[in-house]
Amino acid sequence: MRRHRTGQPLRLLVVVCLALLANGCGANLTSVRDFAATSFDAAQYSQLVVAYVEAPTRLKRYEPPAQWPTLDRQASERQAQREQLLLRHKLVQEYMSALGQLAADGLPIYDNELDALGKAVQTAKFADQGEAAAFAAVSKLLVTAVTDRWRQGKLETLIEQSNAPFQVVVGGMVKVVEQGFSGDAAIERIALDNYYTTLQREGKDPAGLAALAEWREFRTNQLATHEQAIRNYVVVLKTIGQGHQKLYETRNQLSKAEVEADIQRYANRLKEAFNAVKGL
Amino acid sequence: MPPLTSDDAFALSKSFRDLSVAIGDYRFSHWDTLSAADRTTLQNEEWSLLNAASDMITKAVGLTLDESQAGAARLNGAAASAQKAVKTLNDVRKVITVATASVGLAAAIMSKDPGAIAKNAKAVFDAVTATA
Repeated sequence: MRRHRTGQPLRLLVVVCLALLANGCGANLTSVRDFAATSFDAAQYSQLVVAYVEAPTRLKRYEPPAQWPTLDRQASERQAQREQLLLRHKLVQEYMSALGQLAADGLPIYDNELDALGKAVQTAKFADQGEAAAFAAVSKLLVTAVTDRWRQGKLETLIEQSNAPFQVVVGGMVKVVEQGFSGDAAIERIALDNYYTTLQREGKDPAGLAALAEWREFRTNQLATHEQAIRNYVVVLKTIGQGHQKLYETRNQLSKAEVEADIQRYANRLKEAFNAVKGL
Repeated sequence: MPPLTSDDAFALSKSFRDLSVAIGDYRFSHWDTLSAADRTTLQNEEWSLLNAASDMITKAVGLTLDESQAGAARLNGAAASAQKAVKTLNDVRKVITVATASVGLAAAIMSKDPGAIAKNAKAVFDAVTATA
């Protein structure tokens, strides 16, 4: 009886040690995986890039034919930018895929996309050299993670080494969407107002004016939805950047319950913002 | 002078956009007193300025503008002065002069020709000053 009583705490201690060891070898990190998965999905969203590239063509419906050669030139210039813009989305996707795999203690997957990304970095033109360097740094880390067969133990290394360039890449995306795409939408709104107000001033036929008013309302609503998508996607991108910054600041203690809860809050905020984009 | 940055290009885009709106406001608020030809002239300038704003966004997003020798502050100042002048003018001839000079400035910026930029920036200032 006496031996049995002293053996129980010992067995409990052994169980606790084994549990701790198991945790050290492969923590659950659900919130990190959740954050990475949601960021991956959000980075796939490329409709705003498409809308930006096609904006000059859309403006043709409002502008007189004399302006069309200018709009055609702009359309071709933007078409040439398309790959570079989508490349940023692809990089965030690939990075979040690797982050999620390491958090799950899996091997980052080598795929053709990663190979294509590396080649694209070599050929893409970046207006900002700092951004080009950041892009190359994140891309190189991803390749290292795959070729060196990184596992969860390297998660901290990935976050630590990639945070600075990752913030530059995401910051560039925020700037393009927040200033470029929203500026573009403002131009489209002015064009729409200019076109319909002029027609309505010149119009005499009541039925024609009524039809014009309906079309104007339809186009205005379409544009309002697009503007809302831009605002929501800015929140998405900023949350990805902030969430990764939090990962960086807490990289040494990712399995702590309070850190998990913090990261989960970013994942939830990201889901909410991205659902708002998708719901439009 | 420092090269134009993407922030400068975004700011220029907004200036051209605002100027286009100001000319449109003028056209609509003076609709009944303007001739059809003047309305068309003003509207053409509005479209040109709006497309210049769009060009600036394209540049800011993807292309380098660092060859430009003109300072962003001076360029922004020219576009802002033009917008202010249009808001206070009543004479359509003067509005057209300012609008035409501004379209010339936008085209010069796109051409990245430092001489043309300086010349057209001065033309905008001159047009605004002449209307004061």
